[in-house]
Amino acid sequence: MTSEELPGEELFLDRFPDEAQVVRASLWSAFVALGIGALAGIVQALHRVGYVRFIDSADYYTVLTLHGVLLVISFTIFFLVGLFTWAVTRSLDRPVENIRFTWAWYLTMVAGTVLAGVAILGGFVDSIPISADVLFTFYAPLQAHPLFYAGLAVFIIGTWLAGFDWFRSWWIWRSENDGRIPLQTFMVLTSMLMWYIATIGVAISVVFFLLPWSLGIIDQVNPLLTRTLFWYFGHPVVYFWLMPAYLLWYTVLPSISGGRLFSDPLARVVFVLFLILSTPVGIHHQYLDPGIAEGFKFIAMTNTMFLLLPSLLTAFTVVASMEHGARQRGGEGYLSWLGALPWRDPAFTGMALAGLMFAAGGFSGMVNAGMNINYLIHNTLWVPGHFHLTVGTAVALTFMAATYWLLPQLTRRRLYSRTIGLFQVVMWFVGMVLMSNAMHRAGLVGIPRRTAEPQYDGFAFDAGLSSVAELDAQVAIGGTLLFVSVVLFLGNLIISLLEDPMEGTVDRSLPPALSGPEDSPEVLDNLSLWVAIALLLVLLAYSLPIGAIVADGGLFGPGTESYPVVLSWLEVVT
Amino acid sequence: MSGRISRAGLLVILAFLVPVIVEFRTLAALFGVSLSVGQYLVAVTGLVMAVLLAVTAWNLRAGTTADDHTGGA
Amino acid sequence: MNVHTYEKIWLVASLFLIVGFIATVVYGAAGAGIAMVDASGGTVDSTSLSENERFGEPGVERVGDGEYEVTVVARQFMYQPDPIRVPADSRVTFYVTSADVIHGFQVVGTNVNTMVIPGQVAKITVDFDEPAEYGIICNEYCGQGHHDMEGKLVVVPEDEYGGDDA
Ligand code: HEM
Ligand SMILES: [Cu+2]
Ligand SMILES: [Cu+2]
Repeated sequence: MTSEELPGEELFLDRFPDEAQVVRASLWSAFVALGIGALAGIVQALHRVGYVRFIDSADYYTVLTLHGVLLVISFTIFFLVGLFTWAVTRSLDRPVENIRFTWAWYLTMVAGTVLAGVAILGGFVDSIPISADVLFTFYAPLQAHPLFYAGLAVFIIGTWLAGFDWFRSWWIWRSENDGRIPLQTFMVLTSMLMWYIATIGVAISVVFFLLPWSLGIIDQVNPLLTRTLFWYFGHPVVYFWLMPAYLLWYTVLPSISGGRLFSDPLARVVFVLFLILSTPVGIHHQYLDPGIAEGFKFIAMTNTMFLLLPSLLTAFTVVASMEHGARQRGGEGYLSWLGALPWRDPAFTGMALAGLMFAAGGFSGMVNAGMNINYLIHNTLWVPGHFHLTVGTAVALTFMAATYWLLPQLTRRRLYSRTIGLFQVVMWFVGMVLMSNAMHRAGLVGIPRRTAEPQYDGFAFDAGLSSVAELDAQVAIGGTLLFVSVVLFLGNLIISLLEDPMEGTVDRSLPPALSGPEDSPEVLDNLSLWVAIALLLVLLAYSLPIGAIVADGGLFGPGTESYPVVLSWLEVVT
Repeated sequence: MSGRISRAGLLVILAFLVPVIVEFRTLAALFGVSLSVGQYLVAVTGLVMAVLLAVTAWNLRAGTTADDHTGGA
Repeated sequence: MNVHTYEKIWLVASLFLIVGFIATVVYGAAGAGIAMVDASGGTVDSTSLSENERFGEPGVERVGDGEYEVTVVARQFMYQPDPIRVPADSRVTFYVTSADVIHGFQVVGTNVNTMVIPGQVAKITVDFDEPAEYGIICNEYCGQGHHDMEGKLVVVPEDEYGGDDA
């Protein structure tokens, strides 16, 4: 099992110094995005409820675009590429083939982020004719500056190149080694295959329709078509955010709980299921769209429900591995083993709380997925309530917790304060309980999302047992705690880096699973087979609806004119 | 039985109480009890006190029977 | 592959749960007859709504005994007509489209909720039994004035309902 284990005496940083540098750069890019995104988050939370409105309500949407794009595109994906580079390098135990290439994809992603970021920030300054107030879903005919679409395309190309880098390492490893794909590499490869399939949709939408349209080369686009292509990508991207968190839950959490992963074969099954099922479900975001027949919505719904399976299996494995860890540490009894877990370790507590909130997010997700109950909550605040539990906590909190664990092996620094770290993760949990709970309840009484001032002239919302004021207070307090939690996280990290490097070693080896890869059928590692099945399901789920949308409205119609929120530069120069 | 509950453990237990505290009035209303704000404050303070007492009692008892090797990292 | 017994039990329970969910939705659609927004509203040329037969004149029209059709145009940042008045104890079919960008159309406190997409006509049928007043909001971001976009739906007692364009 040499490849699954990093020798305890050697830090990742010492063994792979160049790779560690790329990983650090990626993680820092993620954390810059997290910091700015959190600032936008607190501004939104306080603005919506009406406590503090120091920006103009028209600028609220610029802030919200920044929040969405920076957090769910930049923060999550930069962390992902850093983590995946670490995971592939250590589990294959070989350096990347060409470190220049590795830096090239990283810089491509940075360039994309900067382009899109400039376009978004332009929205704050009226005198600059650049804006991208289109939120992270960029539904046409709302139009952004071409820089925004170009930045997005460049960023995605960067991720494609990163995937190639990891595949190349594996191809070469395979020519020199026998045996199963090491688990972490398996997870990275399946996630990337899913990503290649998923990004086809957004790439077509941006390159063939939105970018030429924003440049004035074509007059109009079919809004339902570009929207459908967005959601073709928009659901699997959700799993792309989750996959690194799952990788950590499967391969790192068991070890920090003091035990070992329960089952390697089931981990592989779960990732294969995600690869197959993540894409043919996107229409579940369009249950309320006119122009899509009910049957197509029904197919998406069925696939979505089956997509619950890998997450339910994960819940089992994660809890079982934790219990195994606790028992190794001397825990006993039916439930008292819980007390034997390392709650003082922020890496553990953070991941455990993240997993717990993911379960709660799973429940509200099942409501979203129910084609008919969805009518009650579609586009209400319930929906952000749901995904702040999933991507906003299961993913974000796991990433923060994992950073505490990764820090020594990437930087040779000890975490400045474990106590602050512990408070930070617990504070995130408490803040999110308040904010997300209030958002769910607000959504049930019809309060909309994506709205600067959800207070209306003609009527008032009836919050049933509680009051709108009480829900507002929960959002404001929760949002503030979350923001403070991010500040503590970043502060703790920065101070750690100012400390002197540690001497000696830290043992960060990951023990193999209780039931190892040799227990699993070889076919699980047959990636081409799974890709073929995934593509087939995509064809089945999407060819008819997209065909119908194009047949009804044409590729470029029946749209309307464009709606730049401020003038686009083309109109200024002509 | 296992050992004492560490301070970190207590912190996590208190964090878990937050959702219950926040939605205590809703919970009570589900059982047909409508609480005024004053009654609510008394009730949740009582709840927190009760949990703190229970943890202390547990630790006292555990302290006499088991050693403290499982409380934390 | 060796799968632990507990894990098998969990797997089977999960599959039951999933099939159960699908069954409830099937029941909702087939048994209880909850209609979804679908493609039945057809398409429309949103650049020339004023010349369109239906959308040229947004408003309420009586089409049968206790049956009404309401044509709604959503545009930055209002609905036409506003307010919408319909009598109680009626069955109302809404036809909603957009003159510009994507909007939402949600009758607050009910499950009347649809996306409004330029070029597409959203069709929803609802029964209104009792007189009531509802707010209508746009729940999809549609531009800088999105938060000001609201309307009203008034269900008046049958005997007070004066006529279509009141
Ligand atoms: C400091 C912590 C955070 C606060 C206070 C916060 C607050 C908010 C609020 C109030 C909204 C709703 C705005 C509206 O619909 O009008 C929102 C939306 C959103 N948040 Fe957060 N959030 C935080 C962290 C996060 C994190 C960590 C993520 C993901 C990794 C995230 C992802 C999103 C997304 C995707 C939206 C929806 C944007 C849209 O509708 O276009 N947030 N956030
Ligand atoms: Cu989805
Ligand atoms: Cu709107």
